[in-house]
Amino acid sequence: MVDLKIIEKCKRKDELAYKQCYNACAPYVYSIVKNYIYDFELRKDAMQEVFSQVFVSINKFDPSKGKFKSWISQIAIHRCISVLRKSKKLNLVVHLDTELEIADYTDTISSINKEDLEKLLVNMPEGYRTIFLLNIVDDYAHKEIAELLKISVNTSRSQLSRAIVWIQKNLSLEIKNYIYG
Amino acid sequence: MDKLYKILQNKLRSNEELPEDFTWENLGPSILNEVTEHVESSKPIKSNFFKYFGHGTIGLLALLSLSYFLFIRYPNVDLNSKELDEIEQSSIDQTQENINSRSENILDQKEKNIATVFTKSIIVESENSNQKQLSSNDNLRQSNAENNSLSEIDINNTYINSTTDDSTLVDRKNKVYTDNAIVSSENTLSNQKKPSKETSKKSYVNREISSNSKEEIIDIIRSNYGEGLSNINKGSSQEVQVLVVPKEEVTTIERKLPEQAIIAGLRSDDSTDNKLDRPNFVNGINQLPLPFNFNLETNYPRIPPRSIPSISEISTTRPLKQGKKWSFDIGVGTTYIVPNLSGDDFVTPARKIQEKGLFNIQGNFNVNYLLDERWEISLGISLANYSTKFEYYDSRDTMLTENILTKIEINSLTSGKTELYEDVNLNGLAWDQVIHHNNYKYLTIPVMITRRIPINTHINFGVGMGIHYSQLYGKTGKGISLSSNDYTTYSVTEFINKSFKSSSIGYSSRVDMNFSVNQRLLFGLELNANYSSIDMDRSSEITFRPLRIGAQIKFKYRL
Repeated sequence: MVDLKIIEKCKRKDELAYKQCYNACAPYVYSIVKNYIYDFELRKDAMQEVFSQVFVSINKFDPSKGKFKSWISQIAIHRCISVLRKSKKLNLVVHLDTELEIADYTDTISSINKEDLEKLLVNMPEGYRTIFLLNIVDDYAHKEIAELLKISVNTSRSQLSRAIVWIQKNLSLEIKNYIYG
Repeated sequence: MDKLYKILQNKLRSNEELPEDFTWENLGPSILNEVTEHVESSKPIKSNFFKYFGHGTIGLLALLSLSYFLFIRYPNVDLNSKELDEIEQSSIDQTQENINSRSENILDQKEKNIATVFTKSIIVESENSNQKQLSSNDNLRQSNAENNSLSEIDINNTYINSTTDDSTLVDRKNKVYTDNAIVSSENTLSNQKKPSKETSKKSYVNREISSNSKEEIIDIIRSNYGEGLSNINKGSSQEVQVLVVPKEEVTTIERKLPEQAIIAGLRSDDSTDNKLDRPNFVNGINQLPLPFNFNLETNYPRIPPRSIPSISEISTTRPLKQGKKWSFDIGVGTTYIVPNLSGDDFVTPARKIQEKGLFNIQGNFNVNYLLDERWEISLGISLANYSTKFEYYDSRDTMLTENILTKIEINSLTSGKTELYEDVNLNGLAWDQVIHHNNYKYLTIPVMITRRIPINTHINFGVGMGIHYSQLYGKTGKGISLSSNDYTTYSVTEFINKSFKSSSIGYSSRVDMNFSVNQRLLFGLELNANYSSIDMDRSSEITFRPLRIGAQIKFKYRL
């Protein structure tokens, strides 16, 4: 993703290296930010925070412990959550209601192309989407999600369940719309 | 799940084309600014530095204070009471001796100074009206022309003429007329042609004035020096001592003899308080710029000078007994904790607000050492339970079976709509109100210095402060769900998903009131407070700063 030489230069606070690093990593980071944050201005804030955090703490990056891509994606996700929390868009409180039972949704999601999946995520409630992305896409365990979002593990599980049910339901509606015109 | 993860990773985590607003040219400057500011401020290091610096400074001051009291102010604190009393008595005796010897020295010195300039002291009887003239007007003029301070007493004209030049005191001319009594300075009169520099500047007249000349003298003095002399008993015989010396010498004498100067009323900056302690002090005399010493027999109420209190007098007003240096106290009481959580997102806001302190119990044991009758240091150990209560809503998954609408069939021919309902299992989310109790068990070791404030022989107050080491050795919690009556017990650490540092150093303070039952046993009431800061994560972003307060009844025994 980024040459180690550039990283070393970044550690020496070389502004040219900062630029090279940004140009190399920004597309990937933007793909993360884009999924978590749908407000355009907040995305800019998030991108700015991610890269300033990367450059400030780049001395802590140890290539022997992991890839730079994983390290930067961790920072990006944490910054996105932070931005969402600051903007109070992350609302995980839901009331007692009922949803459909979760079925196996792997095949369903596999069948959807990237654009449709992104459209689906746009309409998903913020809380569902965040936990869905954290757990399913970014492979965070429920315990990690609970610590990150300051919620209980049960809440994380419930939110994920509801998110998947929401996807199934909305996919069903699309299918129904297709069938019934 | 892995399969789904890979699918979604491929779909959602592929590189995106950056919009124009997200290029380095647009975001780069603000990113660099933020990086620069962060590096310059080094905020965590700075805050830690100030925190540790502040704590260190306070701790150092406390240590220095303690050292001062232990090793400098009270170098022999282990003496027994008898020795201390002896030392105290001998110290007072020594002080008295010093004062006496100093006073004697002062008097001797003054007399010596006076003697060197003393020319003559003549006591003239009032009946003797045919005294010869000891001075002449020529002499007076001559001496005045020489611009020297002199004192002249004309016998025939029965007046005392005292003049001073600018260099001496004031350009005031004082005349004291008497009927008969005339006193003159030998040097200023007999040695007319060559008045020595020394004697011309100094003269001393000690005279007794008869009763018939007294009123005139008083009137003149009053007109010159103020109304304060109006209280002089005009009917009694008076002795007037007049000392005329140059101003420079007066200053020297005053400097050398401050006590005598005060008694003589020569100082112009005397305060009102000092006057009260001064026998024979005459209001107005103190405003005199002249170094005259008036010893007037008056009817002034004589206020005796302050005497040094004896040991017995001191001990009767001292409720704390000397000699009983060591004591210990045991106290039992109630405690209350004010949880003070800081840091972003420590817990959800609802939890943060709803955490309340509860009353619990504490026990203390202290060993005290009395440095003197006012200061006391103590080392103690305290065991205390502090409780808090959370009230919050927790979510739980529920499995419900409900008859819900699952299918809608629309008949295209009839345009009819058929709704199908089925019993299905529903995965729901329930919110339960939970009351959660936390119990913090603290072991605290305080080191304190206390200022004792005796009220009377039986009651004394104390105000103390110091530092403490505290160990949090128990932190359990128990929750109850009101809807299900389901008790859940788990540790506080688990509850808040953070790890405490179990020990900390903080500040302690206390206020107490002791009542002495007898010389050894006291009981009292004490209010105490402890404050410390506990980091709850590695980056010190989240801290637990509880204020622990308590009230207790304690018993104190003096060894």
